[in-house]
Amino acid sequence: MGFGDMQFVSMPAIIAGALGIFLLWLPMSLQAQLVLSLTVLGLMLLFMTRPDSKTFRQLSFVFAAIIALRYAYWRTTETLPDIAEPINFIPGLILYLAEMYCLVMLAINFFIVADPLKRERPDMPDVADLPTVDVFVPSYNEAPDLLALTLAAAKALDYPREKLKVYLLDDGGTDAKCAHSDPRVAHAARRRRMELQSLCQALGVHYHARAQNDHAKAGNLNAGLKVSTGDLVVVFDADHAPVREFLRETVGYFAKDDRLFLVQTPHFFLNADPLEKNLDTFARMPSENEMFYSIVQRGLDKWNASFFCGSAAVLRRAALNETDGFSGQSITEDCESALALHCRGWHSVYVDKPLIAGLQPETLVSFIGQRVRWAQGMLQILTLNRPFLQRGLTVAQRICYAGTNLFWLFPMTRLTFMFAPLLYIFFSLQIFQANIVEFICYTLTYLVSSFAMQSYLFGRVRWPWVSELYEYVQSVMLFGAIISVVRNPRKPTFNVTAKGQTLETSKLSPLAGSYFAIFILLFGATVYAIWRYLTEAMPSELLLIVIGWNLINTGLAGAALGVVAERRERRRNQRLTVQRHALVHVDEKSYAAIVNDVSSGGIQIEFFEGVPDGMAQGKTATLELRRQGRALKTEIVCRSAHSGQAHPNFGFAYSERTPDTFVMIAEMMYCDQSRLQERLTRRQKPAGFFLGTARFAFWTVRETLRAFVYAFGLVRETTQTSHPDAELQLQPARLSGQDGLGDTNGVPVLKELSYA
Amino acid sequence: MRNLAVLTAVLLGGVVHAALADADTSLLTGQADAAPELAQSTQPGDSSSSQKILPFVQSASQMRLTGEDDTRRLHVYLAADQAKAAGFVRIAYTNAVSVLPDGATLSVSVNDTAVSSLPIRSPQGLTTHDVKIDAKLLHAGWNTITLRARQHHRVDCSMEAVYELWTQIDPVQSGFVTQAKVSSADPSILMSAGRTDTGLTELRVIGPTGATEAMARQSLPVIQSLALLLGRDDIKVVFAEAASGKPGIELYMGDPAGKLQSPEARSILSTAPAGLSQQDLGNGRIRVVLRGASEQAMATALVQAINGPFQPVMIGAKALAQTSHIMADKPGRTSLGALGHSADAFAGRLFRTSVEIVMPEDFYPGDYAAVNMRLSAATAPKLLPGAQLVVRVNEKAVTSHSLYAADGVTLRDKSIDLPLRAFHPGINKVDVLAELPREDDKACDLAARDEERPRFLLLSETSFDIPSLARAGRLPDLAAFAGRGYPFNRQDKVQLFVERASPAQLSVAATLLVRLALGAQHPVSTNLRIGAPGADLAGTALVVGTDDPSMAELDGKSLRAARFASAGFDSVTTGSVASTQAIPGSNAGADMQMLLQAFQDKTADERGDPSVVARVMDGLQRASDMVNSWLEYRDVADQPPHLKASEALATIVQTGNGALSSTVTTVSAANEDDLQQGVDALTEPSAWNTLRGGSALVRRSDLAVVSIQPSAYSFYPLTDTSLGNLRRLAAAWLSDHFIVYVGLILLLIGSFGLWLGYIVPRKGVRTVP
Repeated sequence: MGFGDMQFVSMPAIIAGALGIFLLWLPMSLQAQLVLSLTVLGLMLLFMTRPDSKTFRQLSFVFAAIIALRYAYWRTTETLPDIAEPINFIPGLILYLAEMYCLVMLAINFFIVADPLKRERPDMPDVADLPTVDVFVPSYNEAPDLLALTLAAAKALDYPREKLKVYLLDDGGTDAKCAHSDPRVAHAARRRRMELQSLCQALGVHYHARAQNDHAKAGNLNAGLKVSTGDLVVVFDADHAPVREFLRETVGYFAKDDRLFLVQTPHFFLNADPLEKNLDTFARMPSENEMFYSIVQRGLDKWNASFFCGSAAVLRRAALNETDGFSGQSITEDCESALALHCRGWHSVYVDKPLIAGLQPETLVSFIGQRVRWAQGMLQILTLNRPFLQRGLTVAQRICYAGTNLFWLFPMTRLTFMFAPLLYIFFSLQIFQANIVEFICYTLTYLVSSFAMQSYLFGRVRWPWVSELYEYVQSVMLFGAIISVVRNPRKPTFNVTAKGQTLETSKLSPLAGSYFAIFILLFGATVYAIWRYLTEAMPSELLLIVIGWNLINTGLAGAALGVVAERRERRRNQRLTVQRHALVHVDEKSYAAIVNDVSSGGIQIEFFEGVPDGMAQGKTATLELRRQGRALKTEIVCRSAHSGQAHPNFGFAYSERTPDTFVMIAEMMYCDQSRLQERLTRRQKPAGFFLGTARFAFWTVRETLRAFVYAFGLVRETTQTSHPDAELQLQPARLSGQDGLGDTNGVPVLKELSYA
Repeated sequence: MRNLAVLTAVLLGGVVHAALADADTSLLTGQADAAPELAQSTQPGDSSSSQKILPFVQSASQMRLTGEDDTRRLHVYLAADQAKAAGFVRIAYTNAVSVLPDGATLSVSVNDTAVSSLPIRSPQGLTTHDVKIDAKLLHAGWNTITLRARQHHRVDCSMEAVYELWTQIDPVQSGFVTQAKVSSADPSILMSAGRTDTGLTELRVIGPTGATEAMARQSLPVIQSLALLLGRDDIKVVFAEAASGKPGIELYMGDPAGKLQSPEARSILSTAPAGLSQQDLGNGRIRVVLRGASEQAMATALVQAINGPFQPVMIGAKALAQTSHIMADKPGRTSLGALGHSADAFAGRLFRTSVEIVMPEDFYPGDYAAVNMRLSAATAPKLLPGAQLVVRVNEKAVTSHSLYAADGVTLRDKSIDLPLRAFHPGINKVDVLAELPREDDKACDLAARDEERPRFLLLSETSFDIPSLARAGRLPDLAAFAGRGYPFNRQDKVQLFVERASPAQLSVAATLLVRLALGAQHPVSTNLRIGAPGADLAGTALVVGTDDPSMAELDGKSLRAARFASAGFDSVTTGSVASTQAIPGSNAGADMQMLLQAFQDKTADERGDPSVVARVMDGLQRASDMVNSWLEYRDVADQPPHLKASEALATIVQTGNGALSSTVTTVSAANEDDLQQGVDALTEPSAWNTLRGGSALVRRSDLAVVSIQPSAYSFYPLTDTSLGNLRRLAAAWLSDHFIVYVGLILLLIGSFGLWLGYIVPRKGVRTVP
């Protein structure tokens, strides 16, 4: 269809849409509303049976919009309290604005996920034409063994050796830190620098520590840019270990598009976040970030608006040079940098394949800390950069960035929705003027439509009510942070998210108090409201609606108690199922085995051709792998034995952990991207609304009880002896300059190391 | 007719100067000096006899006090001399047998000053009381007599029993009794016209039978003007050859030398002065003489009288009208206080107050907005949980709100929406009821009743907000016809077809015309034609006849429930209100659906314990009926009346095409007796105000008026083409035809969605196939 033809079709369609909106904004009878809503809902559900049809997808959007617009119109014109009653009007207006915010976000989300992009990997250029690549691993305070795996995996990337350089950008060993006025801080920094220099030298990685810690991560990356020269820059967070195919999956895009500045890949996590861990859903339920990485980023990609997420991305140096490197005005340098480059006409690509595996914060405190940074950073961008008004962006990009930033206002709306019913229950404030018939015709149909769309768009990656739970858990703690950044956008500072933490005993999080207080308040309100309903001979219909609403809120608050009642986590290293063939040498005999899973601390092995004699706890062995014809070996010691499905399984720990051990671990864990993909695919199964709701209701009861058990100190846990991981064995680093590795910046290198 | 135009302007404006600015001033030239006032009569007994009674303006239906506590405001016009002299308010009343005599009182206030309290104890017939009124309480012009009845049931303390309580004031015998003599030019003479035994104000046009048609042509503007001056809605016009001696007004008009006058008329005319004169003949008989050599001369005399001595009547009546109902022509707020409501503590079980909202004739009912009632009230502690406030519009409950609070509740500006769908063009009655049960009601110890313990207080700040209305005149719409005389009120001249020039048919036509004039608030200019209208009839016409072709059409299938009955609001439980105030026709014994329902209910016990399936099916059926009724904007109980043509005494049918401004309203019956009886029933004030839909009939069995919904409407050309009005109209019409609405939305938005389905995959970065 040519341009002329398109106009021929477009103009009538746009006029039809405009006329349709005019009709939608008519003050219609409830009868008309109900018939319209039910008809539209029926058709929507029909369209949703064909998820692969793009036409039906758009029809589903516009039909959902019909119901949403009708709701918005009714809410605006008929339900607001009289302005003459400020005690009703003011909270009523706040609730109304919260709902309107949700509707705006709904519209933006519809736009973003209108047609999520599916890309096909381009061919790689010839080796000679491949760009040089610098891999940056910025670090601040991460442990050397954590870095060792990431650096080893980075060094193992499938890319010509001569065109790949890996840099550890250590902000924990900067000159400023090494010369800190506090001798303990200075000593720790010097010690860290020496350890990491040694590690880098052993792995063939360039160590760089800058003079000052200016501009946090962005400043660190910019320092890396100054000491490197590669055409492309890859950024991996300290805990983000890449799979071997990472560059093969990403670099080819740069050859196709000279204006491409970014190829972003998803962040895949090996461990559970506090919600997954404490509700015991990990590996069964899709992780929180999967909605963003599996659908939203693909939607943004459609509009050339997928953005840099701080790690697991490839960037073009030439583009970064235009903006003097990474932007550091906000504490979310990644999104800000992408915005700056999108404004200059550069393009981005999102590759929907898990190509790195990392860690997410395990404890509620670190989780909240991370989200505070994200929320504050995004709102900094919103207020300081004003993406919607930025020059150089397309309209679609403006909408996408506005949506991405505005999303972080959700704590305001979520808390409004949580507390609004209380005003009616306790004070009989009529902040929402409606009767039960109106509620059914407008609100209920709108809610059904919203849930149906949520299931349709995100059902594969988000179970029912889980979004609400995540929002609520964060909102309680983010509220103050948002107020702070709105009052002073330049105030927030970068805080590094703690990862890899363990918890010896199950206990309440230090943040649990607020959640308990809210739950008790909501629960009390529910009880009181039910009492009111039962004792008032003619209770208002509104009370019935409010009871239902508050009951849902109480359920959310109860489930959230489960999130703040933290189960113990003694696992220091996260396992990845790999199914890798290996040889195990025991007492000079060799046994064929399958390595079932691997972590930085050990492996689980299944002997499928017979178990070695005398295999028991404390028994040592040698594990041998083959990599491109070369044997890799490491010593292991048996720690446990389990009965497997077909053959017994044995848990082994590494007897020692040297840089070579981490090379081997990286080889086992990250040689094949499909391991990550399988794990992701396995849990991305839609849960129906009713099943999901029933499951959530179950959580509500179970987790509330568990939280109160913790609160009353009734936890009964047995203590088990845990073997510590083998220490990281490092050789003293050679003087810098001998092989071009380990930039010392004038600080004396370590002569001898002893890791006690 | 330019004379009538002047008259209309005068009656509408009330002040002559503005009205005459555009009028044909030639009518007044040369005569202004001659008749600045009404001509003086020299007839003996014309000024007054020793005692005479000035009836209240209100008709019988407006003088009925119901429930435990009810108030009526009655008006009477006094001349200056009458106001200066002491007088009596005469109250003739009867009451329901169920009213307990002990403690039942009728308090009387004059111009908001309490003067007396009478016992209510006359269930066997009328009892008359005279209440002396001090002169200082009176003033010249319109005076307001407020009657407040407080009465209780003899034996029953249930809420339902409250509806059995009533006290009826007799409009014939009640009024203000005065001995003061007044000038014969004073308008109070005319206002003192009495009512006949039937409670009607007869306006008799006296002339020879052979000249009835000519008399009618001549008198129609005058009749309407007199009716407007009187302000009564119970006027019946009679063309008679001679005076009957009954109370009422006897109108003589013309020139004594005219060929068409009877000897009696000629005699009276010859002794009367030129212009408009009046004589009090005693016993409520008022003779009005309009003497003029020509039609123009008589019109001029009439205009001068209205601009002269009758001007205070008109101005006062307009002022009273403003305080008696809410005119909803423009958006705005009116408080109960502005309507004369006084905040008195209420100690009974069922509080009730009413407000009339007069909607414009081209008002289109719908759900695009609501009349907002802002309630300010308080309840006493210790009411039972069943305490509730119910608001009824046109006898249909539209909303209810709990008034229960253990410690009493105070409501300030509580917003209560009254859906516009419950209203119709013309007069709408809004009843505010508060059911206020208390624990001691159950004991029903009448002796222990404590009237000093109030239960409810409705504050005068309670107000009604009128929204912007959708305005489009519809055809047919008898509500607009009855309420505002639409479309007759907007035409320069309308056709009045009378099948035969018989006194009976002309009387009927004139009576109907008077009702239209009262609705329109100005005389309707008519072109009287004798005979049946042709098939090519265009314009606005009122047809009166005895050849009723529509009678045969009024079979069961063509009848639909009255539009007002289909609003679907009465699902709220309202005690016995619904059952006692059911719509005429809807509870007919011949109603098949109701018969079937009654049969099923009666036989339900005989089938033993119904099976689960039967119960489920029954429940589903009921739910289905309820939903279907709701979707059709009607109640489950509102079933189409099934009436045979022979059951109709008379019919009124509106047909035509609004777009062509062609409207024919036909009133017909099988014969003249039926026609007269039917129109009497139709024009009875309480019945007239219930007219709805496209046609109505007077049921022969009980003279009830049954309105019938039209199958379709046409619209008059819009007078308000503003975007806001068009939008409201679209909303109202599409709400009534929501299938069209849904279809349009699906078509328009669906088209847009299909286009998006095509364009979105081609925009931005394209997915690799």
